[in-house]
Amino acid sequence: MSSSAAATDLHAPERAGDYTSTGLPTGRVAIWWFLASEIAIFGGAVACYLLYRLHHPEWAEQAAHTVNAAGAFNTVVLLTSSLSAVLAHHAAEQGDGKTAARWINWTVLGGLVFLGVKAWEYAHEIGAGLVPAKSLFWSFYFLLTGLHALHVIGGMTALYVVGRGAARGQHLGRVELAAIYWHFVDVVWIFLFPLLYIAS
Amino acid sequence: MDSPTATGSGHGAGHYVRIWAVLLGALVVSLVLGAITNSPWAIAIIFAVATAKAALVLAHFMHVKLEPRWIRLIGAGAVAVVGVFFIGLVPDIVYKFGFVPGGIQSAQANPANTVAKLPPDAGRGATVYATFCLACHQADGRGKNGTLAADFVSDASRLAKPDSELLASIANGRQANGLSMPPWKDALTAQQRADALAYIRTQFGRKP
Amino acid sequence: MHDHAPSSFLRRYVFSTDHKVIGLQYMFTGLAMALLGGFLAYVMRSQLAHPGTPVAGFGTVSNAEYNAIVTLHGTIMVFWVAMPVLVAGFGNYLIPLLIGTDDMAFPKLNLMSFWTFFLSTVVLILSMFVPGGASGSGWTTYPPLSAKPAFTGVGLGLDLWIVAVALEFVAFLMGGVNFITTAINRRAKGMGLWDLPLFVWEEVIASIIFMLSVGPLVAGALMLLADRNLNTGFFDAAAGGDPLLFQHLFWFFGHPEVYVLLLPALGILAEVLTVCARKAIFGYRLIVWSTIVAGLLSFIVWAHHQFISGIDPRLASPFSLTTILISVPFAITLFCYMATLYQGSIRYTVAMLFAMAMLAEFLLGGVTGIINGSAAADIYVHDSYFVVAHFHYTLFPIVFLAPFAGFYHWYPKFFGRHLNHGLGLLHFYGTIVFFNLCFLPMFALGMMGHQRRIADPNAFGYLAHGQHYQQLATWGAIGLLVLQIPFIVNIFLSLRKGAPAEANPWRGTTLDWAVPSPPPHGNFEAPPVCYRGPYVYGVPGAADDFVPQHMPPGPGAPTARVPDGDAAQLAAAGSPVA
Repeated sequence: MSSSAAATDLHAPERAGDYTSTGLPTGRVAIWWFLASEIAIFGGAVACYLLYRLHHPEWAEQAAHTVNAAGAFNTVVLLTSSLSAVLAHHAAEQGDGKTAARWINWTVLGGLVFLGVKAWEYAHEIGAGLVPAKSLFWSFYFLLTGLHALHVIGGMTALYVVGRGAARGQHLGRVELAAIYWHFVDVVWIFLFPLLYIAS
Repeated sequence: MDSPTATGSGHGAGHYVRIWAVLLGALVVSLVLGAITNSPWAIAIIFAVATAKAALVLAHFMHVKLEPRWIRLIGAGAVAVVGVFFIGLVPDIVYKFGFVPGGIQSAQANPANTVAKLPPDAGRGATVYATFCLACHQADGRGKNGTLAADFVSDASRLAKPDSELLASIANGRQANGLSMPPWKDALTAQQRADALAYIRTQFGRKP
Repeated sequence: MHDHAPSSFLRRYVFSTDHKVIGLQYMFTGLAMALLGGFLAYVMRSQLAHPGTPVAGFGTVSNAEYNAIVTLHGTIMVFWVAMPVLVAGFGNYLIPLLIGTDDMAFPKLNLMSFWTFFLSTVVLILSMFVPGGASGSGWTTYPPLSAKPAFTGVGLGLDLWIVAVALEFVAFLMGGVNFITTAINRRAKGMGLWDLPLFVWEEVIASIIFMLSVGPLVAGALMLLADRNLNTGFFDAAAGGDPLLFQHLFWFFGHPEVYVLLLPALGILAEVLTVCARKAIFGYRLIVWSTIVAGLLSFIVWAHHQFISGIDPRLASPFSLTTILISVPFAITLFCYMATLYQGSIRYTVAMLFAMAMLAEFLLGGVTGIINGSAAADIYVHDSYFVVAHFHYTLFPIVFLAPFAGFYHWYPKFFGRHLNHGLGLLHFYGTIVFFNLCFLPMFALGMMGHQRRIADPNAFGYLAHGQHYQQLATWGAIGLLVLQIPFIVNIFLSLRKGAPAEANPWRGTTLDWAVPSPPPHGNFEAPPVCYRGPYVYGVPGAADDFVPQHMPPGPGAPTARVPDGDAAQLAAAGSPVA
């Protein structure tokens, strides 16, 4: 990063494929900037929810209608899928694409289970008349969980694509990037769960 | 950039499983706390636990603790920006302080709000109309042929009503013909409402 | 390092991943949208000068149409001209060249970002032709006006408007990640952070500001769409929501956005001024640090747009304070630019004229901003033509004068030919004269009480005495638009007839001048190595009055590394010009 450090390797060989100014892989620098923008989007939405919730203490009564058990189950699913994602990363680091792909498949399965449970919850709630227009609490509930679900779908797609490559031993560096993104989706849920379910 | 990139983690799989177990344990703590009490302290602890869980995922699964400091600053900066946004909005959105000192509601507290002191004046009313009424009723008073708001010009029955009835509509709002006029009693003083009516009558009314 | 340039026309000029092609695509899309935005301005001004009379080329302007025209003019000029030209156009073309690399870090992401942007353009234009007409709730789109179709009479048009803006945000988020990562990780060997040309610094800081400020508004756009279509009440006071929240969401992005546009403009200026004044930039590190400080401050000034919208009055003073405070780092930057000119041997190219004009005109915009920024004064001028004049004095120099300077400066690099000097002078003098004729009267109009966004000032008798000023401003606007014709002609004429340009026609020091004009696919023959800071001019003992960044130390180039081209260091080295 410092100019003096870079100056010492002035006469190093021509730029190889993996030469970077900072020494960090470009993909990893990019993913953190990407997550920064995601933090601003989720952070903005959650900030709005918190501001309204603090103004309307009576929402606690409505929050009691969310299904804690389903939320808790989904938290377990996501935490576990994060474990398999980090194990995939671990395997990729050691150059074992096949094992990495297998762990990624478990993570994608976790994402599917999560979405299935979420879909059941939505159906249950909408059936009970708890639609977005029912009240502001439910508007926020669907906004935040819907936005999160979209990110789950995006993360699963990325993992699936990366996993296919890893199974053939290609682009193992991308496993880490997809895994970092998946952990981020997990972290968002770690905060959404108490915000929308437990605290009532 | 696609080469396998050792983060130099040096952790074995067992390390990750241990972190996962701790995360699940923390989840159980939150659930139990949430089930037995909803005191503010319990909620504070639940969010502290959530923050700790997020920190564990960040440090051990996302390997933030192995990244250089400037990488950590990227995420921290984003969180700080959201924090600034939140804090800046607390006075307005949580407490609505803007509506207390000298704000809109002072019009209500003001005795002038119930009775107009001066005789209604169409000149003053023109400004009120331009600011508050024109958006819907339009400059020509036709409210887009009555599609957006009441049409004062073509529909003579509108302004044939007595002042008292029209002033009440302005103050309390009105729902009719699929249109909805908001109540103005909080936003405008009685004087301003009377002035606006005077302007509407001189501008759009049939001369008697 | 070179893969071969793609051979098919489609892959080469339409779906290219080459940063130069994508940069030009952004620029020319922006130019086309500027013509549309300019036409809307012409219709709007004509209506204001002679309300109710049919406008040539458009017809009679109804009030609803006027609202739509105001909305679209603002939206197009900010999101579909300024953003693509300043941030994406110049950024894409110049960043890889200036840092000495062959392309962006993620060329495919770059391609995707441009086509997402293009899709947003299509959606926006589509929104003008749907039943109910185009959005008429202003570029700020405040609810409740925007939240209930009944208030503006606009249905689908407003939904499409929101979708278009959201798509555009997505495009620039992708672009921003690309810019930042490229500048961080793809610099030529030997190029430290303090060797980066200022343009790169400014683009990167602008991208960071954009990326962090736009997030909450993305959430806000979803909430507004839900309010319109799912009957939710996020911004509906009757349902427990708060319309003020949207204003906060909007301006938390909207004000930093001004700096997102300003910074690349200042970056273009830094490159043009140094080359044309034959002098090192004055206070390189000072400018960088000022910009970083300004970037931080930009997140705590937003509520100065809301002084009269019912915010906590106690918030007004702190926001006034931060607003006036943020003028300090920008004043530092502008003073550094002026000090760069001092005792330079200035060459008055058209680019230089535009750059110097930008400094002067932007100053007027900045100074009047201090009046708007003080809560007490703002209560009087708020929503009046004074504000219109103020932000056109800031944004016109940013969005047009600076890119003009950049375009005249780098046109030889883009196309290998020079622009015609005479047409350039005509364009320059015409633009400056008519720009002032258009917007100076608006300061007076504002003080007379003329409010923005009123379709027919004649409807209000007390505004009659300002009508002459309205007409004067309209003549200015028409002249300003007509005098853009020489520019358009010049662009296309010079493509064929312009004098051929060598690789380094202006004798600049940065790496963009080290490649042929136009640069080939892959830019550099061999990866360049950077030996010194970006603005090394007039060093005693050098073979020439400038020393390029990539020239190895030797007989013609000073051996001492000048890390940041700082004027003080050059003075210490005995430079006659510093």
